[in-house]
Amino acid sequence: MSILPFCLAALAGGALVVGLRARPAAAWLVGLAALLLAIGAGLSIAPGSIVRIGGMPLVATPYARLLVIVLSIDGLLLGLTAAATGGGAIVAAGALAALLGVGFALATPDPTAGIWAVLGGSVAALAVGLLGDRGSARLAAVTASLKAVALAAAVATIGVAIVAPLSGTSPDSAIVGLAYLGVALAVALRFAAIPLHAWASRLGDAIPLPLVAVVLAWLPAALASVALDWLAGPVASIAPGVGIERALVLALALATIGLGAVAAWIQDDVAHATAYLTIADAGVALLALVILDPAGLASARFWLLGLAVSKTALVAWAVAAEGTFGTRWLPDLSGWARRSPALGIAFALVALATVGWPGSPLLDARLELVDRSVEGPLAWLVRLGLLAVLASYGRIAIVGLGPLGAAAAGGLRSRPERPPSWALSTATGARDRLTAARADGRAVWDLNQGAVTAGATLVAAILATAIAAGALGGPSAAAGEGPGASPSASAGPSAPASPSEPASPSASAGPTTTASPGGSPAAGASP
Amino acid sequence: MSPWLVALAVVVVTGGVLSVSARDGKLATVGLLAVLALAPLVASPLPDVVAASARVVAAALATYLVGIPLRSAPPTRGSRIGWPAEALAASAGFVAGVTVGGFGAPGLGPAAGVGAGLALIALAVAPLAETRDLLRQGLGLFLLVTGAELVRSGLAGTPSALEALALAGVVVALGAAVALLATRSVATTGDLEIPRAERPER
Repeated sequence: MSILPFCLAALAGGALVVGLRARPAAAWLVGLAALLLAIGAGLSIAPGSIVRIGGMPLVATPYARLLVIVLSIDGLLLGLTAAATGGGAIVAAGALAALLGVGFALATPDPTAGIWAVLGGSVAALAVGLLGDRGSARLAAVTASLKAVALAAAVATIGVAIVAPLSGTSPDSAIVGLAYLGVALAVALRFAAIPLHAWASRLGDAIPLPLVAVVLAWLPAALASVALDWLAGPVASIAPGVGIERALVLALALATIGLGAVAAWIQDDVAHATAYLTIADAGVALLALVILDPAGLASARFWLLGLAVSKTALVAWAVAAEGTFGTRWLPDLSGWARRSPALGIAFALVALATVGWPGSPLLDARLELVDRSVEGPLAWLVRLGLLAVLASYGRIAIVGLGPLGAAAAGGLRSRPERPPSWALSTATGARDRLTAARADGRAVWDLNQGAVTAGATLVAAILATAIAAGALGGPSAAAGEGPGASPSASAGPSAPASPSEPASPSASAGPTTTASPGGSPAAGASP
Repeated sequence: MSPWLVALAVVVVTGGVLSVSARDGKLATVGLLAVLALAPLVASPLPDVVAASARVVAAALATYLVGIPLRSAPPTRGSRIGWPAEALAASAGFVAGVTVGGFGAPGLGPAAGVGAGLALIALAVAPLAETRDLLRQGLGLFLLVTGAELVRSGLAGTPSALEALALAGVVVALGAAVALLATRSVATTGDLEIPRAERPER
């Protein structure tokens, strides 16, 4: 099966959840069902399958397949953790909107279509996030975010278009350098890299916290993947000629890694700390844009996968902490890990999944990105700088192991519990039994919110650690070719060789599905 | 360069000037509709019928969504610099785009597209720099995205059907986002300006 059913499931599910938002419980359940459907659709994708829409292919590469499956699972887990704070339906809808953008972006060989898909997913996720706030919404923060994502898309689109007329010629390195800088800065803006991070600083206060992972990690990772595939073509061939531009991007990356870690460390609000930790990791992703060597593409893609999954788990932890203890102010969370060991274990796994361990594919990918982008003593400095984020994780962990504070002591229990009695056991008649069943369900949920959110967070953390360990075929999927590399995925009319060449719409107006012969060269193992 | 394409590009830019300078929200949405519906046609060769239709439908839907909260909103301040200055800025962008046409090689699409794109981006600068008027900021977003699309089609050729589909989704999503922002603002403060307590410090 192609990636089309997945995209349709995400689209239909998101629309349905938004339509049902006046009934939050029903909308949440529909959202979870849609995410389960998306997971199923993702699992049924045949690696390398192609579907043509209007003559243009959507190629389900192993990397795209793995990413949509893993992020769908993460979306489901975010929806579960968010339910404790009352925003489960909105989070599910936002995740589905983002999944549509991510799936489309990773499957299309046309970089501009991919850029627009990421923008569409970002705008939709931000718009859905607005639905979640019925009080005084932070309109300025959301508007600033919309401006940032639109500007990033516009700059990236123009950057890609600049070099299009130069294909088949010997391009001027100044022009290609300008295009490269535009695309790289667009990715940096999208990741809220320092000093382009102002728009994201209040994002967590304006939209539900789980959607911050979607806006700051998932969608920028998809954009970065599109950019990397594009850079492997016209820019990589003249890499020595873009020295100044690469130096600028490198400076941006290093500033983000270092200052992002410092900013995260000094935050007392765990939501803000989470955002800055995401930004700090994005600095490593920016290093991938400096390499301009197709040989480094596999490590870059794997890092992007790890970033999306580990930061989702971190956000899930922050959401669960707030839902469990009623606060996200770190000084008030003393003893949180002692009160909720499940959250403590999840947090430790997230830290492990972020930094990696000796011999882990994730750490190898981080170090390769550093070694390929920086030389000499600076490389060792950057390697040490990558560990700076441990200071933030350590600070949060130390608070968690401290004496039980009032918030932690009064927090929800993370152990499953049964209601003292079941209304269903004494109900008679169909209507009474239905009412009793609803009451029992509500009682079970009220008693086990803490357990559900802690459990979902733990699963997200385990998934992130598994990805970091190279499970689920991550490294091989990342090493596969991009959507434009398949010989059957020839580009359509988006880049004609000359202005006089007419557009060639496909003979079939509807989508056609093709399984590429032999599949992709590096088909990942099925999860 | 086809005179029809140039004329179409001029109409698109005129729609942009109208959208950013009109105080009446309805007039602004008329200008917006002209921009969103006609911009895809400033291409050579023309996009296929299905792609163009999708874009027109998306434009109509987005404009309709943006128009919903405007029914109960008071007129906005409109352009701070006035429509003549906006028109001059747009003209400068248009002439620059048509003159440049491409970087290092002629563009694969019409130079009028590059001109119209730069004109719309020039028009988008002031609204996007705005921090209070939500409608103008929303219009700025539309102009920025459409401007980038026009520059892209002028440099790299007609967008594919898949790209047109993605753009249609972007336009509808932007329409929904702007409509939600405007609705929330009108419900909170009675007008389209971000509440004073929320405005970012300059």
